[in-house]
Amino acid sequence: MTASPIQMRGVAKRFDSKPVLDGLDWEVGQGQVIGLLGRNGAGKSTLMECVLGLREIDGGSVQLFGEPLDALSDATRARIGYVPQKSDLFEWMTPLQMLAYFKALYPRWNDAKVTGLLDRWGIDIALRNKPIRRLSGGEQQRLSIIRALAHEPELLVLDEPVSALDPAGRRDFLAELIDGVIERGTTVVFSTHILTDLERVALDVAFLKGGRIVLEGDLDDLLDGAANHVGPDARTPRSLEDLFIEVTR
Amino acid sequence: MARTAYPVHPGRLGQYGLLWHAAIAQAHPAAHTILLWSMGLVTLFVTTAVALGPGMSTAIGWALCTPAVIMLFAWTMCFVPGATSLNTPASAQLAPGMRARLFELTVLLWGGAMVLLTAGLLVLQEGSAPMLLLAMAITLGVAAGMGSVRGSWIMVLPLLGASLAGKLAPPWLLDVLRSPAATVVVVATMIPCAVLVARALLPQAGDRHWDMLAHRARMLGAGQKGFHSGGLAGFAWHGLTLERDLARRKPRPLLMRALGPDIVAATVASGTVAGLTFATMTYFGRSVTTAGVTEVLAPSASAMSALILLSFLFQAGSVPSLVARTRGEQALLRLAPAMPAEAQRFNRMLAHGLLRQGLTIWAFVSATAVLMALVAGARGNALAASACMCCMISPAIALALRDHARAPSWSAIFYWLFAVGLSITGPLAGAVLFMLFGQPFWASATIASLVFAGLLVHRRLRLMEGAPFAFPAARLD
Repeated sequence: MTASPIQMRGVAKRFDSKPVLDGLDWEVGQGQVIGLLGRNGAGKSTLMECVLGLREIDGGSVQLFGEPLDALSDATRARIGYVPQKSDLFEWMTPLQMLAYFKALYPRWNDAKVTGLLDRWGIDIALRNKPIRRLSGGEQQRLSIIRALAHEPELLVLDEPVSALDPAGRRDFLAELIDGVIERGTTVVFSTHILTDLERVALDVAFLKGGRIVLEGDLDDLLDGAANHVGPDARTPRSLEDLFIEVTR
Repeated sequence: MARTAYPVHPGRLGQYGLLWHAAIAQAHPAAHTILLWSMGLVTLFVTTAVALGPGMSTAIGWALCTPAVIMLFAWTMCFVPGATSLNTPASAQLAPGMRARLFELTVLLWGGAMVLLTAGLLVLQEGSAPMLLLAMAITLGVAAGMGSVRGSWIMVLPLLGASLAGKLAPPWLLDVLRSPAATVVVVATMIPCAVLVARALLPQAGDRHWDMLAHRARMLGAGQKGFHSGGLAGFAWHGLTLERDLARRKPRPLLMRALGPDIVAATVASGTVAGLTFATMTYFGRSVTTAGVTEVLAPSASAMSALILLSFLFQAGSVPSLVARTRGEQALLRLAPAMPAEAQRFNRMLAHGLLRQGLTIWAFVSATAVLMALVAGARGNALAASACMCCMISPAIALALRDHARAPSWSAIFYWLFAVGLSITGPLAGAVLFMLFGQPFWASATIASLVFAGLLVHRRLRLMEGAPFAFPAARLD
């Protein structure tokens, strides 16, 4: 039996004395595409950073592909891709230098995919040789996504990946995510506030509130049984936006 | 109606207070308290020491000069950078009165400190004009330089004039400079200069403001990533050597790449330029003219060496901030399979990389300083003293080794002061050994510095190995 890409048990995380994650249990199965939703400050980015071991947890345990976070093998780390909220991308390098740098750090690297995405996403020869700090926010975001997809990860963690993209950029990204990533059976955890994007790619959604996953399930099932997930006085949600507002209220 | 902690409409003094705290807190959250305490304690210590020695009138002079110098230092290194970052184009244009209050506060603080300094100098000596000119050039010049004000290099002229006046100026000019009238003229000149610099530092939005921000970003590296002096050389060298490191796939050089452009290359480039300029000036001074020019240049060799050593301390002090600035990139690097997965191995690799970098820079800076002294004609004891001074700054290398995950990311100026503090430990030990046991000062201070540096590096290497994952830095602050 293959281990789940993400398994969290009783995870707690505090900033000073304020709990951000409070005994959180969460499991993401192989090939699942899950949208993580929550209000501003609910702890979505912190949860993603804790999943990847970029922040220490104060309690509980996290396993990726069955391996504890503090003992991840190189092979397992090569299976993980991450797009942070802010695309910190070695701004003193050019895109080509940065991609070559990461190629040297990963055992597997799909050059053809990188070149194809650079071409399709409008990062032309001139841009490829400019320092990254001179690229626009959207161009940097695209580059950040290309970097995360280049080693063909089996688990892709995306923290608001489309926040700096224009509608055309978002459409390109979602098309790539559906055709080039999800079709391959990649597990995707995707946080965003643009719910229409989420409805296009995510089959499942999870709501983070009060430091826990308070509601999780198939998106269509959740919307069909929406009346069961809100209080007796609340109106029945008719869309994901309504459900989001009622659940995270 | 509920009462708030802040007055809803603070008066002008209240606005000054708010802006002062907002500007200076960017250097350190407790910068205001630290400044007040250090000003009080240092002034008390200096005044008491002088009162017990030279006498009461000298003590009064020092009691006025000491807080003025500390305030000018804080104004230049902490307040002005904070004020310029508060004065964004949006707030300069849209926040009512903010730019005007910032401008007034900037001039008032500087003017107040200079008035105090003038009063102190007048008590201490007859002619204070050259010293005031020097203080004005240093504070306004450094502030303008740090704020990326175009043409700030012009402040070098009074600096050069003040430093060369003693050697080149005719006696009658020196007499004029010592007169009280000269002090009045200098003070009268200072005020428009300060107003001009403050206006340039705090522009009112518009293209000039954006140009200034873009220029500052170019100088410091976008988002202040990869900040170091001589940044262009670092960028150029980074481009030339990246392919070599990528081909070798050695983890440590790749890890060090996450900290920004190569600061060793930047130091080598700027040190070489400074050294070559000085050597050329000395050479032509000797060959083209009479011995007069050499006499002027040779004494300045020690000042140049000291300046280069101070620049090393500044560089050593900037490493902790440098590491904290690239935490986003560090997160991506942490996930890469080529990097060690265990905290201890990762931290050891980073520590050895930082130590090797620090030692290389220290060795280069030391060699430059000693060679400059040699070129300027220093021989025997003078040359040995230069070498000893290089050893005295070696403890600052240890500043780069720390628990980067937990360590707070303060302004580089605090680390620089810390570096200065570490480098005076050896001389203090040397002075104690000289006074108590009659041991030679230079030898004792050098040995003490080297032993202290060794112990400090050893201890901080152990500390770093036992710390949580160093990357992303400052996440546990």
